[in-house]
Amino acid sequence: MQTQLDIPIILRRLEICGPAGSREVDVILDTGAVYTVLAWDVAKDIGYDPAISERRTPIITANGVIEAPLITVERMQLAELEAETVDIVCHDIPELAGIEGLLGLSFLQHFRTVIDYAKGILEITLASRQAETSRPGRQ
Amino acid sequence: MELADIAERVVYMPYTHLWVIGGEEKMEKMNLEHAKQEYAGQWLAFLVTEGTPTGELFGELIARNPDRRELHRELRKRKVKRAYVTFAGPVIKPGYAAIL
Repeated sequence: MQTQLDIPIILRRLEICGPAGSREVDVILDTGAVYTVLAWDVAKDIGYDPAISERRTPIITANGVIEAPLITVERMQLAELEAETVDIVCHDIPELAGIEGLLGLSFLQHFRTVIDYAKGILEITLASRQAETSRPGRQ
Repeated sequence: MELADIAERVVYMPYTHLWVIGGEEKMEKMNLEHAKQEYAGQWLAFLVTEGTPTGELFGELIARNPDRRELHRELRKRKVKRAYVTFAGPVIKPGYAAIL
């Protein structure tokens, strides 16, 4: 996918799938975030209950360190880019922002990400190894 | 069917401003940007059914609410399987800067 750069970098319609369905949400690209972050309500909508998740991780935010539930969602998709079994931290972004998450490295690590400020373009594509193996006719 | 029976089955669809006879809800196809203009400042749950090469999205407005949490509660209550949840307004409130 390729899109024009704005600041902050907002990505529309990130799809997250779970056992109870799917939600598309708007997120901010955060290349400094180890995990992708989603609001608790989005996780609950698609069939997860962050409150009873046994996995927790301390996260460092601008306001300090908090412990947040960690879940693994079945699938995430952004435009044509798809990743399965992605770890997600459930954490509510303050309501002043009209987004429900951050797209972090737990998703981006599957792809090649180029932020080109000179050209004003963000490009996220399949990593070259994946692109090669997905070529038709290749074993 | 008697007129009184029909009157009992008339339902008002608040999002589309349609009066519908019977229990089956037939929603009007909308342009997402138009819905955002009409319901500025609210959170929208939208079922995208069509997109254009220029990025315009069309579909059905499933629900809307100024409160994000209330909107999600409604979606879960109605067992909505698929929805695009988006805010009809600026992602970052004017005058604020995001540091994540």
